[in-house]
Amino acid sequence: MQFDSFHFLIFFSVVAAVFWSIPDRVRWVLLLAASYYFYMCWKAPYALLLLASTVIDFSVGLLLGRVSDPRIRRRLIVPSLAANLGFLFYFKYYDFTVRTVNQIADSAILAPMPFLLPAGISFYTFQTLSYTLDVYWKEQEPERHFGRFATFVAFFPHLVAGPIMRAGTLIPQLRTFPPFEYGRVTDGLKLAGWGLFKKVVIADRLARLVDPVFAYPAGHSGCVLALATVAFGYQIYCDFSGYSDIAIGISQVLGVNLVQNFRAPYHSRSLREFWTRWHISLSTWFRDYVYIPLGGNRVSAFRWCVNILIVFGLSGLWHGANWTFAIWGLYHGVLLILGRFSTRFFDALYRGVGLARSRVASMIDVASTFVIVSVGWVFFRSGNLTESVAVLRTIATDLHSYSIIDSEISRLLRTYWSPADGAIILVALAILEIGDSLQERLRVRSWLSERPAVLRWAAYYALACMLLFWGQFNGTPFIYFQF
Amino acid sequence: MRRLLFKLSLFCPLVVAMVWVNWTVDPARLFVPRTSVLSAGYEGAIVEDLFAGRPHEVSGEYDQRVVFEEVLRNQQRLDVLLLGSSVAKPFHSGLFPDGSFLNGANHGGELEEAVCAYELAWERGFRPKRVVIQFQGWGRMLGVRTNAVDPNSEAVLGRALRRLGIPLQSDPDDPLGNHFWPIEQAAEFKLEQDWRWLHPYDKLISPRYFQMSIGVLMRTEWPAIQSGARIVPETVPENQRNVLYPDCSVQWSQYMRSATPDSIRHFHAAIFPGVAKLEQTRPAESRCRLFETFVLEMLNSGTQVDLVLSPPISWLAQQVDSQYAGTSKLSPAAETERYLRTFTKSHQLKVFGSFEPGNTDLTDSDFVDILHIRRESIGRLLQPSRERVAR
Repeated sequence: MQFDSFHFLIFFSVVAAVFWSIPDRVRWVLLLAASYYFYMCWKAPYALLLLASTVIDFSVGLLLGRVSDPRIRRRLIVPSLAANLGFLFYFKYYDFTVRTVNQIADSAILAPMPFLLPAGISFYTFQTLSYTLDVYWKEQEPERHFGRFATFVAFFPHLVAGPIMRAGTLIPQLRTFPPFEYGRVTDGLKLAGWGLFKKVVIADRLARLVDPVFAYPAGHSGCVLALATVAFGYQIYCDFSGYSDIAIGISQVLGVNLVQNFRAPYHSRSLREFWTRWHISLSTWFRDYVYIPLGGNRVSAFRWCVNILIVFGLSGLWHGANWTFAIWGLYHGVLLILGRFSTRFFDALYRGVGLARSRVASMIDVASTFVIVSVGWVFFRSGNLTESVAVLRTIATDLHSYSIIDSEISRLLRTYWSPADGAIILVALAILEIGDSLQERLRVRSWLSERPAVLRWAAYYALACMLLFWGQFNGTPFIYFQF
Repeated sequence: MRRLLFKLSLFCPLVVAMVWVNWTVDPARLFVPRTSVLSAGYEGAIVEDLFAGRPHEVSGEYDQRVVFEEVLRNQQRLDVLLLGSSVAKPFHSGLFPDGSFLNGANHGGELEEAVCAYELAWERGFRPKRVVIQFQGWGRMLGVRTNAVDPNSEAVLGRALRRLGIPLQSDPDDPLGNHFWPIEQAAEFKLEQDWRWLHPYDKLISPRYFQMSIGVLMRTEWPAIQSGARIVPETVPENQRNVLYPDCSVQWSQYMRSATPDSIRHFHAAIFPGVAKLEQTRPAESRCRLFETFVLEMLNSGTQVDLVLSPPISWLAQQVDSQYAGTSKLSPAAETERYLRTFTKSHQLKVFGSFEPGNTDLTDSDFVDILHIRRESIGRLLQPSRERVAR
């Protein structure tokens, strides 16, 4: 069941209507039942895996709450880590390991896994892991109500693609729900509508251009590959942040606040800033549970570099069991390290040419960060490393194609898109950029709520019409579902 | 809560407008009696051109069966009827000069669609002298059925099955139950397949259907755009889209025709399906039973039945071979060809072509993609059959 499906519209309407009609104390029951139904719509048997993960972490949490001896606590946390990481490894990385081993051995010595990757396993595993570690580090009281804990793990708005929530933030919200509040509910619906716009109007339309180009990169010029790479950058941003917005919005309708996951990442002036704006819940997870335990930045410069590479390498592999993701993560890690050591040089350079703290310098920084991130997307999107390198080489060396960019674009529009698609995307991206820019200065939804009714409803109707006329309702799954 | 419901109800005009447009334009003709196809809709525009003897440049989705039914309605005679998948769409009357020809092949290539097309002709009183059935080794004419029948075709299929004496109970080889669905629409409405129990009324609130309706409105109701969408025969070679001829045959678009063996291989290399998908095309018992009953009934009615086996491009055949190299199993295509040749031999039917590209007069340059053959080349499949040997 996808967020942009008719099925989900009916499902959510029923859940929200029942939710606000029943007493506060039983609302978690409804959310738990709805969450398991939501998950089982994909593959019912895999709900057992979700349940197993829940039972193990709940039990370990309770035991950790009763024991104070550090040695026993250490022993207790092992089953939780082994089960969570074991499930994750088996379902997500086993095939990757088999492929790598078989390639090295040049024969099929290991058989591939016969199961599908369970939806959302990376997300709920990280969420339960964070709970157990927090309880182990005594930063979180163990939850003693199994139903509430199970709701925390399975809460349907963020179950399959985040944001990754911490127990300390979500579980208290599941104990007592706030009373129905018109402003909060409409605010949530507006955010969900904006997320849907990003997904069905921008991301799914861009997918129609990006997918065929990356399916056969050798058949396309450098200019087309560069355009497709930029298009992919926007596609993945709109796809994933669209999902997050819908998740946050519908949770808000149900009286639950999820953490913000994106903050106009392409407006970042450095790679470091980019990672404070992109997939924030994952970045902070890695910061708190990997980077800081490794020593963070309170270590020698060399050790800090190693820490960064470990964190980004793991973050890359978290996205997918493929070397392309590992390289993507390491690429970001290396550039982050280079960025730290080159800051002074660039500051001096800007001062030297009189651009220090100027708007121009800021624009140069944003543009260069965008280019650096876009180059990384080539690894993320390509099927294998050889293809990634070939794409980057063509982009960098096929200079002739840039001189005939007009005909290349018109060929692209003729082949995969129509001129109308091009026009729609330009308008939609302009709206996206305006929306992201405004959101940085003011809370757009609150600002909109204070405008006259005519203006407000014109905006709502414009959004609804864009969804209706320009939306691509072809069932394209969210990209992050595969992680 | 009441305030929220009131505010949400302010979106009702938009929903009502969508329902109204979907109901009145109804591009897939879901809400109107079949007899009124010419009154509105894209099919009406297509049929109007075909009746006037003009080829039509296909600029959107349409219900192939509705167009075929209308063309049949206008047909005086029918001597040769061609059935099969989209690969057979370029077969045209020039290749069958001995009588009145109609191409009843369907995109999707399910056997049940072929049965329905013949049934429609039969019900119109036509008893063709010759029926040519095209098969492709890659397709699912005889394999496990995976597409559902359009509910509007169920009645036709039901009548055909009753006439053929095939019981209507559920089919063990059909994972979807006793239904199929034209493949073009299946893709369009993928999202809504869970809501089949509402069919067709779920389309009233379908944004996808709304966009199709708006597209049809633009083509058929607004004259300026309409004239741009039509073509005259002289301009056919320049067309960017497929062209449908009055005999229901097709000329592929300029884009498809610009494909070369190299570009086809490179494009499809990335999406070559594995053995699991190929296995679904292996002959399934219940469909073979339907095929045999269908052919024998036509033979009993005095109709000559010929089979045309269309090969894939040689690269694809090699890929399939490599999947089965070193195993004791025949490839599904080879097994299908062996089955068809055994059947045709025992009933003395003519077979043209082969699933093995090397056994036909086609070369890789005759293909517009891995399966589909150029209109100019497809006639080579009708050369007198050499003794083909199934791999």
